[in-house]
Amino acid sequence: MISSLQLGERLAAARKRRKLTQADFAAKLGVARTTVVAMEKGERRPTSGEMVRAAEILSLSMNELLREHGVVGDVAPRFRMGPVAGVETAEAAAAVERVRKMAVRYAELERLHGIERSVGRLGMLEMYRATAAGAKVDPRLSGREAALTVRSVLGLGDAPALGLDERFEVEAGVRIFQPQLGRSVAGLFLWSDELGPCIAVNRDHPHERRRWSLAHELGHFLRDREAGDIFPASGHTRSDPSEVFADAFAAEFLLPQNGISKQVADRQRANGGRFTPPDIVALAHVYEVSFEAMTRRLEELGAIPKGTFERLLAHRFRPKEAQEKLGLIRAKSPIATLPQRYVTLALQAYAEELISEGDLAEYLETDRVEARGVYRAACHQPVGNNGEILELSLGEDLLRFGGEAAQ
Amino acid sequence: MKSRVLVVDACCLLNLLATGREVELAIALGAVFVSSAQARAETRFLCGPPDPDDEEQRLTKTPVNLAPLLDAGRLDVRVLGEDAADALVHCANHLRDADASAVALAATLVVPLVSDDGKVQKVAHKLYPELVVLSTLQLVREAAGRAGIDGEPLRELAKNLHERGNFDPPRRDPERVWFEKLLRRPNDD
Repeated sequence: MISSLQLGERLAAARKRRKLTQADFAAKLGVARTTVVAMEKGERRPTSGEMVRAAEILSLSMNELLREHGVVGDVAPRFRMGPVAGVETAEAAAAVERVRKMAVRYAELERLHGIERSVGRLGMLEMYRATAAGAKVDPRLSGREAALTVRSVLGLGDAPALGLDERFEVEAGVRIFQPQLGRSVAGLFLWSDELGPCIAVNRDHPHERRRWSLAHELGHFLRDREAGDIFPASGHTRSDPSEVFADAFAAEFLLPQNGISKQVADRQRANGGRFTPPDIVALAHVYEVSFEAMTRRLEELGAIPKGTFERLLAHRFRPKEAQEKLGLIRAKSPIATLPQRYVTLALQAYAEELISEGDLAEYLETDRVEARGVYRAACHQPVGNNGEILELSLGEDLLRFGGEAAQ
Repeated sequence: MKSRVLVVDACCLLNLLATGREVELAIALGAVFVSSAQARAETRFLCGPPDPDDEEQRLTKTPVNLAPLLDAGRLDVRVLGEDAADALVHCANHLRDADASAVALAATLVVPLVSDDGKVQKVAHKLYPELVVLSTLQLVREAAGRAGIDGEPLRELAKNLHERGNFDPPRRDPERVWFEKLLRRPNDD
């Protein structure tokens, strides 16, 4: 059972999220304000009847208030963001709350398994602070420098930065989600001591756009993590140093100057000195960015004249059609809202009876019957051709095979 | 004759509905199933047949229909009162509210709890060692025996439970082997 102090902290956090004063909450609960003060300080544990009413008032389940592995995960005090140009305020608030909840569940799953957030191989990313290193440096330069540092840590050289979600997840402890974030939000970044860094990119956006949003939010993580960020789907202002940094980081991280320059030179050599729109399409495909992002980056690097993108559009160049003709359409693959590691932790927790079927459904953001299907698919492996099924034990610790810890 | 009262959690209620013969089973057992309102709220879908237009032939979801059980007076959905508040809070320390309310209801009414959920069973045993905890398969086997359901109809019932409910019995279920044998075709052995 959690302590009265922990319970008090959870009650206080939930009350504040509901924007209730202690007096409001006390009135609804039918007790004196001083009683609420005592409850929140852990000096008086609510009675069972008060607990039932408190949960109703705070729109929480009682288990959320009482469970031992519960995580408060409050980001509100750190998320001091005012209205963002181009983003609907209600949509932004809903997106932040959605991601906060996913991150809280993720942290709960880790707690259930006794996993503590620790510095992995890419832990230096968490230590890296672009502001401390270069408060007076042009944010464009420091963004580029940060990208070079991260690329170096990842050992990427000049190569495209591909398939990095899992590495950031496992080695740097960044929680990455891909939920629907609404029409006006491309991505968001939030951080708290309890949850660590959390990034969400809008699953309704194309693969290339999601990669850009992810890189942009990584930039915020490296520069100004306490502030949080909401990345508008369109027309966001680029004058704020923090945004300039994040954009410069994304550009150099996804489209490294050296790598791009070499690719352009190679293509020019192969084409007798020419560099054509299909070359941009092909490069965009290699680096998994949009045609627009690649064209603008090439303009920025001086590889093609400024204004090329607008000129091509004016000449009715259609990147999609060019991609089709060149056979460069990316196969559509299912987009997972939740990280693979999160799903695995949830399935293992269910296998070990640390959570119930209803919990599993909630963690997987689905209903019970579908959760059963996900579990079955994860632990039932067909063997041979006669329909025989091998049942895997998802909770088994292979390092403790035979009852002895592996050395 | 007095009905046998059995508290069913959301997991078990789904399983009973998946059999497609829930009313028959309840009658055979002489039972009234009692569910908490929270558990009822989590009993939402069963697997339906694949959409014929879906190339991958994925199963669809069908909303559950409690009307036959309710109309037959075989399901009683209850909101826990103040008298159960202590038990509810006691259970909610360990279980989500829907599961906690089922355990609290069984403990308050002093009647058996039917659940196939490992965590629910574990917590129920820990908090209320005297509480009788049964599995859906134990009920189904008993009811089938009483109602004379066997052979192909019984296999069909098991198949429904497996496919419509996505149900696989937990390893500890005492009727697991019986169920798995039922699912195999007679000439599989």
